[in-house]
Amino acid sequence: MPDPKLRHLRIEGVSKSFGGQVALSDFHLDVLGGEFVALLGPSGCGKSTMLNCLAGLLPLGAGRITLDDRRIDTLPPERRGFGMVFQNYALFPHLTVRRNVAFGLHARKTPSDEVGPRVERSLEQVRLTEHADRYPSQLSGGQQQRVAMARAIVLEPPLILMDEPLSNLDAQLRTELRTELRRLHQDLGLTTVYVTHDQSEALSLADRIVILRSGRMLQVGTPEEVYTQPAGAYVAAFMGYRNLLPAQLKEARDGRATVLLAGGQVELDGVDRTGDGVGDLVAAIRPEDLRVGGGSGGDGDRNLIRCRAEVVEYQGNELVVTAEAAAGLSLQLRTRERVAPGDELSVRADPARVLVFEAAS
Amino acid sequence: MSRAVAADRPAAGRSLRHRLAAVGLDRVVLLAIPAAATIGLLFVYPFLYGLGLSFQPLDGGGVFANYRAFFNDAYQASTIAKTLRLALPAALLNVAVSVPIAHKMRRPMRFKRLITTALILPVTLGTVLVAEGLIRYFGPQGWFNQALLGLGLIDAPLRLTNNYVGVFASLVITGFPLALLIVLGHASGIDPDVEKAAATLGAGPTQRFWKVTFPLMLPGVSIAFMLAFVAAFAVFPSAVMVGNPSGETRVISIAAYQAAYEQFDYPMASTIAMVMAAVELAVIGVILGLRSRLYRGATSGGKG
Ligand SMILES: Nc1ncnc2c1ncn2[C@@H]1O[C@H](COP(=O)(O)OP(=O)(O)OP(=O)(O)O)[C@@H](O)[C@H]1O
Ligand SMILES: [Mg+2]
Repeated sequence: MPDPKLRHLRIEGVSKSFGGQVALSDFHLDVLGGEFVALLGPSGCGKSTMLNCLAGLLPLGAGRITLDDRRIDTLPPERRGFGMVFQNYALFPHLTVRRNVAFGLHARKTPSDEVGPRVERSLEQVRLTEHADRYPSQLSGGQQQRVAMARAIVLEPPLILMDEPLSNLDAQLRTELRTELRRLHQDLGLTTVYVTHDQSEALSLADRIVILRSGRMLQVGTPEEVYTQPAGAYVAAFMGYRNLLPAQLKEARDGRATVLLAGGQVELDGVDRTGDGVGDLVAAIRPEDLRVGGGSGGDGDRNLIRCRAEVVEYQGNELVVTAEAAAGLSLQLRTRERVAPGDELSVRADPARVLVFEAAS
Repeated sequence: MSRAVAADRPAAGRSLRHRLAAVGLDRVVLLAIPAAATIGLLFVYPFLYGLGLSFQPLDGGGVFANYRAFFNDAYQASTIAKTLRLALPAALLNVAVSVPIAHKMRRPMRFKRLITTALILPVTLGTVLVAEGLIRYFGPQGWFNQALLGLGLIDAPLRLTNNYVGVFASLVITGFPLALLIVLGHASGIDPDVEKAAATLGAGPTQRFWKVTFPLMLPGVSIAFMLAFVAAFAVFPSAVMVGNPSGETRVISIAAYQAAYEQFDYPMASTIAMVMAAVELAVIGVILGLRSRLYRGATSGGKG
């Protein structure tokens, strides 16, 4: 793997508002050379704002950005030398694929005998050589996306910024290009900041994930960290904890918490992830962590919830069941058992996989 | 089942429609027929009638006698050059000024609506009103000259009307808003991200304009130029009112007017109208040729 062209990108306390409305507040991040960092969050949380601030397309409201201890946030975009892949690709419609890719080399006054070979090489890397003489309007979405990639990587930029580059594509192409992106990142020794609202994209691509909500950072960590140890109920919901059940604390001890659900009718053991345990709590459980037919677990009624299947969706090798428990408690679970609507179920949740959070986190 | 039946029944009509669609004709195209017919009636018929008339000179002398007479008479033939001398620079200036303004007005800015209104207002005034305004403002007794005289900047009034300058000014005032509207309308369809992309690729403001924005504006610019030119080439009221209609601004439409309504020589007037049309078509042809050499590809690259 080639050496990254950057050692250390530091973003310190960056904020940005649009006419009083805060789009990004106090963003801190250190990116090391060769890293693939994903900014993950729902629509409108400030992901593009952060990326545009990095690229120099938006002035910062506050804060500073340094690249290997050199301050860059005051430079215009054309002097930062980063590559950017736009959400809508933003290809030059009046230029062929080849000239689109060569644009940056010409703009940066690359010696003309170098331009040709470098363009051909990056067209090969994104497998577009045979389309080099077409115009963007003659390409499919996936091909356009790869032109946008080639146009950025041909410059061998120290940092490459991507704004939801796969969001316009169909599911199959998305998974294909995802693999291709990761391959390019490794083969070329790129350092990448990648914006997405798709958690599976972030989990599969990134070395580190930053989770944003309303312009604030909620958690920074490896995919495994954010997946298994979400910092709060909101991140948990984003990471597939579909069941966020309102709960009251019964007791908390040694990092474990026992909570009461449905007005005390259900008692649940889980991992205590609350700060101080005051206020309203939620118990977060993934649908796949609720096991049907756990009646003979040996430890009586612990973590056992009785419910009735309401909606059953067939999903190939498993069923997704929406079930109603006591006091209007609604559960979602995945199972390979045969379940029909109206069936009475008892489901068991592994205490090690139940997380207890403060509701407002 | 019911679908298959429904699809079977109108098979004959459908295949006709498919065949028409294959050659680019569908029902939307049919909507253009009334417009095409109107153009046929209002434009093609008079054009052909005039063309025929131009070949029937009043005094005989063969089919091309009128054309020969026009081009052999320096007083008449020079109207082409006089009109081009007004229309080409005026159209060029109008479009050249429109481009940077349209470029600026694409991004959000304060008072955009007010500025647009102020720029567009002259279109609604009409050439006669503009010419009158020019006389009042720039004439020898106009405010402009009086102010300069009063300030002692000049000793005698500047001659700004009843000559080339007056007509040129009126062509700019009435032609500029039109050019701007067309250029702006076209430029606002250009994806702003394309310029941002050019910036991140290392292109500075000048390079971005000449390598990206301007090429993308070219189709609109060339249409604006052609329309501005055609409008200016047919200049008549202001050439009379603020120009020198017997001298340097004796434009070609004045020659046609005089043939028709002073000499009552309709065939000659038709001949001059045909010459006008030929010159306009020649200029448009040159512009279209240049444009196709400079610009290829679509205005906006589609998304996935
Ligand atoms: N130019 C602007 N003017 C005013 N408000 C803006 C502007 N750009 C963004 N915002 C606001 O800032 C917030 C963050 O926007 P941003 O584009 O960063 O969201 P995002 O996370 O990229 O969302 P998406 O996934 O939909 O692209 C939003 O609430 C948005 O309305
Ligand atoms: Mg965005």
